[in-house]
Amino acid sequence: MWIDRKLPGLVLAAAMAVATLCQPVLARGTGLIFVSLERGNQVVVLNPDLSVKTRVDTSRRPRDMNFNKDHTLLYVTCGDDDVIDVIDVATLEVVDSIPTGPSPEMFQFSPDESKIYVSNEEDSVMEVIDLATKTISGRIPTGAEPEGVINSVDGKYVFVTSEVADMVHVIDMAKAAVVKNIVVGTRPRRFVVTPDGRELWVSDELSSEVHVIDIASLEIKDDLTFVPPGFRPEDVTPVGMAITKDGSKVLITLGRANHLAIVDAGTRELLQYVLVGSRAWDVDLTSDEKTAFVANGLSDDITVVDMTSMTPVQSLAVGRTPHSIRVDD
Amino acid sequence: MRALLLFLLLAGAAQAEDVAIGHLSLAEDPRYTQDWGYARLITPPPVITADAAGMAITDLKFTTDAMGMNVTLDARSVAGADLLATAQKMVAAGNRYLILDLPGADVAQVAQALAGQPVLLVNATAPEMALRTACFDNMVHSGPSARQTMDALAQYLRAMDWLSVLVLVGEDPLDAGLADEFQAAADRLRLSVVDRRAFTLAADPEHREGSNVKLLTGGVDYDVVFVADTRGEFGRYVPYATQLPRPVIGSVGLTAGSWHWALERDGATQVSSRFDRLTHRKIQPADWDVWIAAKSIITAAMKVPGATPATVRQFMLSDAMKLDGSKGVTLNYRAWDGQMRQPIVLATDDAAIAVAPIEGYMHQTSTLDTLGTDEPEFACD
Repeated sequence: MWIDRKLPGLVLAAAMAVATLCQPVLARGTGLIFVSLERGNQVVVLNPDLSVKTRVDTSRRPRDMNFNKDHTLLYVTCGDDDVIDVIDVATLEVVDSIPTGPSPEMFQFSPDESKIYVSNEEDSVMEVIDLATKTISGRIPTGAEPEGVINSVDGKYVFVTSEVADMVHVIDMAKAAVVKNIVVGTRPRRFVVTPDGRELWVSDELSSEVHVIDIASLEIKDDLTFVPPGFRPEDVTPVGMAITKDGSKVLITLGRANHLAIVDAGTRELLQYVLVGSRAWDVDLTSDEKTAFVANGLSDDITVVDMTSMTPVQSLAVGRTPHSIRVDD
Repeated sequence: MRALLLFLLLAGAAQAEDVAIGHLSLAEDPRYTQDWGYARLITPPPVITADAAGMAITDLKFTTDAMGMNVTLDARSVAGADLLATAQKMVAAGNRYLILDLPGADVAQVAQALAGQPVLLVNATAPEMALRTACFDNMVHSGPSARQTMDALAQYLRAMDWLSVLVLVGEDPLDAGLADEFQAAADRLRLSVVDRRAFTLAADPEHREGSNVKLLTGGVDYDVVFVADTRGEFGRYVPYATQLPRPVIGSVGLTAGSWHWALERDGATQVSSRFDRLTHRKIQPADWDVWIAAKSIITAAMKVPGATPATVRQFMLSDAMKLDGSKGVTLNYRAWDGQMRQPIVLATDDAAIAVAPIEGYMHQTSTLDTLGTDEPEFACD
């Protein structure tokens, strides 16, 4: 069995956390896999054995998803209805919808989980939503078509890509303003921050690059390209990324090149190209990091990747246009 | 006073941070005139593509502001008689980049009139091959050439295994040019053109075989009908009227162009909906051609220190140019003919059916070069 089920210790810790919230059912560590279907207007929920548990109807065009810290709730941006739907992980129902500006795409919680930072693709702003009041408390202008949003580990900065401006905006949240613009490659999309808080990795979809930014100096320190054998650089459109908890490996989906690149984060060396589905766009790891799941936007499926052997082990049809994938374990 | 103003404008244009873009069009461009067709047939809505240039400037404003670059737009729509004088005035006023949304013959005249002047011309919407083979050293072409669009159709026919084609050609010289390019594209992919027949709009009973679609499409077998009718007056009556039940492509039915509002991948929706919000009409291919022309100029000017029209052109033609047109791949310009490499959309009225290069068409350097005149085939006049 390649999926290592929940560890007893983790379950206990989660149960204690959840008990304080008086949740009737244990949520964290369900092992469930959530896939948002952009054109299916659903989040499909898979059991750990990859059978379909249920399909949760959402507002239109569900895209990015993030759990709250204790994994009781899953938040989903819904681009065509201008809301963030909230799914109760225990009951698997939409329990709330938080209004946003036009076309919300990617988002992050503030480190204290009191706010949501969300990019509004049609409006060229990063919106700050106050979670307690569900009101928009700030709008920070960005370049056109903002996409990726991520916090620095110390919570000082929020980084946002603008797909059109070819920039990473560095927003100082104390000032609620852009303090620096870093010009990267063409059509920058998504981020990971290394767990030590030192590096910001940015995928550039159309220039086939991944830029590594030094967070202390806010300068570019590396420009990486990953071209699987038989492809040309222009076929490689990196988008989604994930990083292991120890910061040793970065997983990069290569979009049209239909591969996942697994990269040694320290040496920047490629460890393996893994063949996945058509236009691989998002990737997430199980908490034991033995398995990665890749959402393939054009082949309407997900690919299950065994991280030990770094090989694909299964593909699974999930529904129309998988956008994001998150594992609750 | 006027001399002083001119001096100030020129002095302003000399700063490296300024990008002064002009947009030149005809007030009554026959290609966009609403009542051009017989009895006020529905032709494309009046297209004012200068809005698209403005949109590109706004799209990139965050970046240009951050770089301290001031981008201006000087849009002029003039009568044909004033065209060349206006072009001269726009250069004198400090515009270093002119986007031309003009019929092909006018584009050539402007290029000749402005030869040797410090200005880069971007031909946005004239597809004529003669403008490419003229090899104007002050010009690039952002909108697709006729050959690019015809190659896209030919690839689709080959992929669908629709291999024999009946070609119908109108009276306009542009129609013959389009049919010639289709023939060249068909030859390259070994499609068979079973016949090439001229149609006429006259209802003269002596020439029924030229105006009656059923007669015009009879007496021969074919998989598909290709119609070259840039005016669109005749072509609209061809679908569902052919003697054999066959699909119609070319100027009607399945058409090939740079853009379609129904494209929805790769950020295309965002471009189309931004345009819709700005102008309250659906984006046309000509709008995209102008939008990407302005975006090309600004993108290149940002990358070239002390940008001049000549160095910006040189940069556009190099591999260093990486342009995002929301078509899923990076775009740049071919060194040999100044033509932008780009995917071509095959669309019906309300759906994007396919995007060329169709999967499986390979090329030794760039799959985008399977569309349009390739380097070994190309020669300047």
